Amino acid sequence: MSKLIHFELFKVFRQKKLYLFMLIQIAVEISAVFQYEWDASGFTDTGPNGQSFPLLILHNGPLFIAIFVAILAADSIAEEYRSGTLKKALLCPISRLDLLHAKIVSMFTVMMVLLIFLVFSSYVVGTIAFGWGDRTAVGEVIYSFSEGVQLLMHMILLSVPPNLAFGMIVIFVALVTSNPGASIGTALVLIVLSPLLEGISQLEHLFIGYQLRAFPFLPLHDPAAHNLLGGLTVILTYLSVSYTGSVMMIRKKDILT
Amino acid sequence: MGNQVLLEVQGLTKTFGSRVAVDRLNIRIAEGDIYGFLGTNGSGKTTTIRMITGLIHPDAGEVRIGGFHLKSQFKSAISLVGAIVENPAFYGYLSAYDNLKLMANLYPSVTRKRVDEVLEIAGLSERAKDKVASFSLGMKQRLGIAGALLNQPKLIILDEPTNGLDPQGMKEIKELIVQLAAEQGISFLISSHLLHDVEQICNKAAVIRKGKLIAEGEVKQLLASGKETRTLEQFFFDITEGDGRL
Repeated sequence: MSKLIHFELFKVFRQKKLYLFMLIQIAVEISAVFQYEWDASGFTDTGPNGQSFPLLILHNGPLFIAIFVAILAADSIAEEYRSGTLKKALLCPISRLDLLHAKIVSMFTVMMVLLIFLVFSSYVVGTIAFGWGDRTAVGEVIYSFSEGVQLLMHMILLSVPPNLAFGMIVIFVALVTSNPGASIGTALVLIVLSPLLEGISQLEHLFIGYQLRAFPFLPLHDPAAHNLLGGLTVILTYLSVSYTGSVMMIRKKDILT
Repeated sequence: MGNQVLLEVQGLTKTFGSRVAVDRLNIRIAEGDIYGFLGTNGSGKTTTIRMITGLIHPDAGEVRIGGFHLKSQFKSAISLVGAIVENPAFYGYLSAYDNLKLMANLYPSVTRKRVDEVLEIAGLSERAKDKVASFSLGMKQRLGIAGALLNQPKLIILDEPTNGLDPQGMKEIKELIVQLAAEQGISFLISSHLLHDVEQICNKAAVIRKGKLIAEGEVKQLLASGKETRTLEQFFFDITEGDGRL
């Protein structure tokens, strides 16, 4: 299994796509520096600083990671199916299920790398632009540095479940359609659909797009435990249904290209 | 040729919707055989090869490789096989060496030294560090054979190995196959619609038409089976009733 994970990660880290995405992330952060006053409206009252900047970036761009996860998931299944490289791996003495698991672990690893990169790069960009500052400020609330870091870590950790569930949905769609365009298209529809449903408050939390935008920031806006559990239940349902569907699909799929 | 059966296919059947792609196919390949698998486009050759390599699930029938049942002992069975199914597929952004190193990782006991060895056998050592995206089709085909040799297989399955190659490329691939069979005792299953090639390098052949096996045997016997000795091309047209598009 570890060899398979290495196999999957080697491919991702040797592609330009990941590094291009990191560059885009830095460009987004630099752009946020110039738009800070506009972006920070209602987010912090005390003026910008490097300590608060990662929270702002994460808060204003939660779907950025999700989009890359969708591209990665579509690439690792549908694009490999189309190009014939998935077939190449399946001609080796490995099980299809192990290959699926390696792809999921690889997706999770890359997601963590991107989240960590986002934190570090936004600390650096924010500090260069505004200086480090003496407090982490979120809205009217002022945190010490350690409390600010703790809050950021909570947000990062809570970003993982919805992004993982989202990636799993895209993997399932990629296995069903074998089409990279359809897989990424479905992902974009799920993201775009979510804001359109914001008016339906009874239903909006059932959509993965809503959870991508809301779940990581529950400690910021709504610390109530029942909302956290409710969100987690929705996310785990998506995760388990799409995982089960993916297992069934990869086991029975005929490789025709 | 050896008597030990290396590949045994029994009653293999696959349908796509209402179309029967492969119909109760039986094949036996012994150790040392170079087995030509002939048929027109769409006759079921590639579907058969995909079922033999586990890429497609058959509706009925079974495949045994080296005595291992493909369905229930997949890892043991496929460990004996190297294959190129349709076109050789590689990661274009990686070098030839990295592509093979990556694949070597998926086998339990393939070393880095073996990667160098198969590159040498395929005549690609000098281009090992070049990205595969810059390779010609002939070079990709040779790299495909290098990849198929990685795990020191007993059986190599090649699906239309000379497709798209120029005459020089075809000659090189055929020479490589004959050399590997002679020097390393590897058996081959080669699907093709290039009858002259099969006649030149194969000791056994089978002809498939509309998913059904219509002839099988030693190439020499097949050609001598009529009133007078024929070429494989003449034999093929005779048994396919003139439907053997080339």
